[in-house]
Amino acid sequence: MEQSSSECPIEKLPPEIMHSIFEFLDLESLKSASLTCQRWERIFVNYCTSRLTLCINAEDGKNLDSTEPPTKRLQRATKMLQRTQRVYRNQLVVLDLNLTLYSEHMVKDVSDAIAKMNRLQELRAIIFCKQLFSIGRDGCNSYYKLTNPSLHKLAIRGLLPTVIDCPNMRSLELPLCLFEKSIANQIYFRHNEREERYWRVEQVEKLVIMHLIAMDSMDPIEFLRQFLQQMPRLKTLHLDTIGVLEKKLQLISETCTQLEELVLTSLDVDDPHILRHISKLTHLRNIGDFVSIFLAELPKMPALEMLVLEDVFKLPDLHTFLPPLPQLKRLVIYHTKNNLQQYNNTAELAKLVPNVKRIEMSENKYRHEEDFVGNF
Amino acid sequence: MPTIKLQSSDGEIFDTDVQIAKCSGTIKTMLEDLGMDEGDDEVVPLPNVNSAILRKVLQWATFHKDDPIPVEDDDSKEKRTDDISSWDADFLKVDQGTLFELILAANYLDIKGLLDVTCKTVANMIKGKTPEEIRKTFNIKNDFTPAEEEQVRKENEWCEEK
Repeated sequence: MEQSSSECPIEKLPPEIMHSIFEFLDLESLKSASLTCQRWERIFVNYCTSRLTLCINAEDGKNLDSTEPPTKRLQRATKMLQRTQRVYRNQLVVLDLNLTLYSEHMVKDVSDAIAKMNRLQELRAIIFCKQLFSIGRDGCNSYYKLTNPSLHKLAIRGLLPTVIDCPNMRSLELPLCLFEKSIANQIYFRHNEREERYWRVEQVEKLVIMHLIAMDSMDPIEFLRQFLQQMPRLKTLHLDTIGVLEKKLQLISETCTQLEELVLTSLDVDDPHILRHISKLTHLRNIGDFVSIFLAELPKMPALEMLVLEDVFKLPDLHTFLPPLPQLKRLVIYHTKNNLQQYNNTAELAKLVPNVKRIEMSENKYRHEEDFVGNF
Repeated sequence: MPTIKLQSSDGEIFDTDVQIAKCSGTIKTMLEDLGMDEGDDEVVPLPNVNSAILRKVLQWATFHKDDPIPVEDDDSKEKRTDDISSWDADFLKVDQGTLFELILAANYLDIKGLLDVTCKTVANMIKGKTPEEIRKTFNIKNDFTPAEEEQVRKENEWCEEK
């Protein structure tokens, strides 16, 4: 297949056909293709939108021998982002920080690099400190500030930033515990940018809190109230915390009036009337399996589109205690391995949930929860 | 067996089985939309395909006339290329010019099976090669400045599938 020295017949193929060819290539070959000439690079740039994302890992996972410090690597990524012409799939740019930092300089360098990444969409910041240098009682380090113009989704583990200021942030995931002192001092919720410490959260629509624990003297209810009051636009709330008490559910129902999706890991109550609180949430479309044990007490929620249930012991009698849910589209039931029962009385059930095509039975609860909560 | 007449860009007429001609989505639509009936003496002009390529295309379509209709998969991941049949592999032992003409013809005539197998063949010519090896294979001139090439290389480093 040798060609004469002047002609390049593959140039005859238009970009859309080159895209069809790229479909058959692995990532490494694609990268090679993008480096052959300007025309192929331009074709590759357009192809990115359909298949590839930009994923910045602070540590080079593929090259374990790499001696490049993470902060250097981030600075390189920052430079590259400033010059990029490419648009990636879902315009997604993900920064995956999984760092153990050794000095305050590193904390500052990371903060500076993030502030300059003006195409960043998603940030998973898992930061731990090697030594407990300058971590305040509030769990913060004063050099750790997350500011970014484009960031849409933020998940934090470990060290807490003293500043979160990302005007486009719609989704926020928080770690194990928030420290009482921060809340007590109200540092997180001042909107005045001249303050040294503030979290701007009024634009947040989705909040995930893992294992909410308030420390020592702080009343966890008060703690949660202060937090939720800052987020009037909240549509989705996941609380991954053991034993949600009635007071908490009441608080959520009263504070988050715009809520469309509510997932709680478990309820720690005996009073079946607890569910009356969620009837105040008139926009609610999805609710998690915490309602399973008190299914009979489920209030009428005309807007509900998805209901997740777990181990419904009396499955064959489901229709006798489920209220009518006219808008329900998905009914998902998890069951333990040896507890699979067939639901036969579909005709009765169909009267209650006319828009559910089929009951989705699944053993694999954890996978679903992961999907529900996000892949963190 | 009913036939129709296909005319290549250079004027040659191909008497073709209707069933085989209809492998081409383009011809199938033309026949249906224009209400051309089998047995009509009308000629279907194919101004984008020359006789040499049309002959190859019809040869391919004749061999594959009983293939099931290929299904679309919308998976965004890489598709496999190691499933080219030996007949197709032999059929596609042609020079690059002919191979790319076949791709263009398959695209114009809307013959998914042929388009797939030809694109796969080109993909196999790219797979596993360095940029320099790809340039050599297709006689591509490197028109990057060193700085541009470096920028592409840097950005590629963070590129991933998701």
